[in-house]
Amino acid sequence: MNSVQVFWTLVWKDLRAEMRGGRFVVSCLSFGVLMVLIVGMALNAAPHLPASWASGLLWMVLFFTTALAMTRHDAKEQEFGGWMGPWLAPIDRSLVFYARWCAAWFMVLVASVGLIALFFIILNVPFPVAFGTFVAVVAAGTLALSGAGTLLATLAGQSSLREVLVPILLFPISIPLFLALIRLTWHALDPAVIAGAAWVEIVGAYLVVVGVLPWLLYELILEV
Amino acid sequence: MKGVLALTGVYKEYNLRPVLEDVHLRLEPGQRVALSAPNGSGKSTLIQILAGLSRPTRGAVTWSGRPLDAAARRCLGVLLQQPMLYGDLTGRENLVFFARLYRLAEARQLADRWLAEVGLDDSAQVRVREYSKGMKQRLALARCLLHGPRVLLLDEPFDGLDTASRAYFEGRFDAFAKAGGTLFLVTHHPEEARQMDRQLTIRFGRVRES
Ligand SMILES: Nc1ncnc2c1ncn2[C@@H]1O[C@H](COP(=O)(O)OP(=O)(O)OP(=O)(O)O)[C@@H](O)[C@H]1O
Ligand SMILES: [Mg+2]
Repeated sequence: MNSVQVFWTLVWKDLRAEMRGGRFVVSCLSFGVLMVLIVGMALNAAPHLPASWASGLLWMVLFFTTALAMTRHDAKEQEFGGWMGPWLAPIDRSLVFYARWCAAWFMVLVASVGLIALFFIILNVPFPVAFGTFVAVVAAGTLALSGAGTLLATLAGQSSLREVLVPILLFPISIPLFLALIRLTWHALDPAVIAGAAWVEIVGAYLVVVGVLPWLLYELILEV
Repeated sequence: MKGVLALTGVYKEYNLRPVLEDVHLRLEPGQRVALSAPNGSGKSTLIQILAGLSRPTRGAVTWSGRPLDAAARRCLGVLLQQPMLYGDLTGRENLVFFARLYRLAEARQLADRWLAEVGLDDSAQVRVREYSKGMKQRLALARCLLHGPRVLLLDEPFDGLDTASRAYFEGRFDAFAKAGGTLFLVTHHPEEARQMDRQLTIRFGRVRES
């Protein structure tokens, strides 16, 4: 069995656990919908939410739901010491990180689809003009966010503060990413707004850092 | 090929507080070693370092003279105070998952055989979250033996087991030792320690014969 099969075995474990009552997607969705509803009430269902506001609010909701879901996913790994099992196996340990990232991203994406649909309906935001760009931005943004979250959960190691450390650190680390995602989403909602190539490069840089760093460091970083 | 699991000059600190100091330890093939020491003296820390789950602050863990790498981890079977299982997966899914990580052939049949072996065939489709402590420990035993390790690292394996389960575990470990396996057992019971070939303890962070 090669690395690819080991990778899918690890992803399968997360998805199977989700189906057996992980509730990653459900808790993401219910929390996100509540946030959208509260924002909707606060804005008094404004008939025309400016595109800049809509993109900012959308990423706020996606950030909090991702952070919540990652924390929950992490707690499941810690429970019964499950994470140590793959750690004992004769596999390249960086695969554990990539598989966890991939599974988390997939679940965040599933939840995001539902959330975004409700977001547009409840807040009465016009359908994105540049739909392809919008999809790409959401996919890349959630990929980068879930990657940064997985990396932080790894770095936090066995620290007693890990439950709070991960969501709290995720925010400052992701600020440039946010600015870029908000700008690009704004552009997708209203193509009259120019989003320079620099914003795309920022998102790309995040993906490269989150994608390559663990491969170089993973054997070193987890250790308690 | 038989291997020697060894620690040389191992130090371990938690938050700058030393737990282990200058530990030298060789687990010879086929040897049965017991470690008994008071609570909080670093027994679990030592076993986690031997298992490659925790990195020593200084010093080296080696398998037959080479650093403990992925290939060497295949030779270890580890049973800790935590069962190292996934609560949301069923007993069977847990074993299939670990069998695949160890790249074992026919993971499903192997999982079923081990479930029957540890007496969990009735609970194979139940999520591990719903298992009792003893059932989790039995499943953890199957997980740690499934890939045919040469060294068993056991951290208080009889904790919370009833008499029958305990006898079963003891029988398993005896058979393992008779077949030439190396046994490293952390225990609080002097009579268990006395049955082993070698008795160790930890005093002021150092491992010594007792
Ligand atoms: N993750 C950790 N972070 C900080 N300190 C730790 C950590 N794990 C263990 N320690 C400390 O290291 C020391 C040794 O702990 P360890 O669990 O190895 O003891 P033990 O001998 O196994 O005890 P017991 O008999 O209760 O199982 C203890 O003082 C403990 O507080
Ligand atoms: Mg202990």
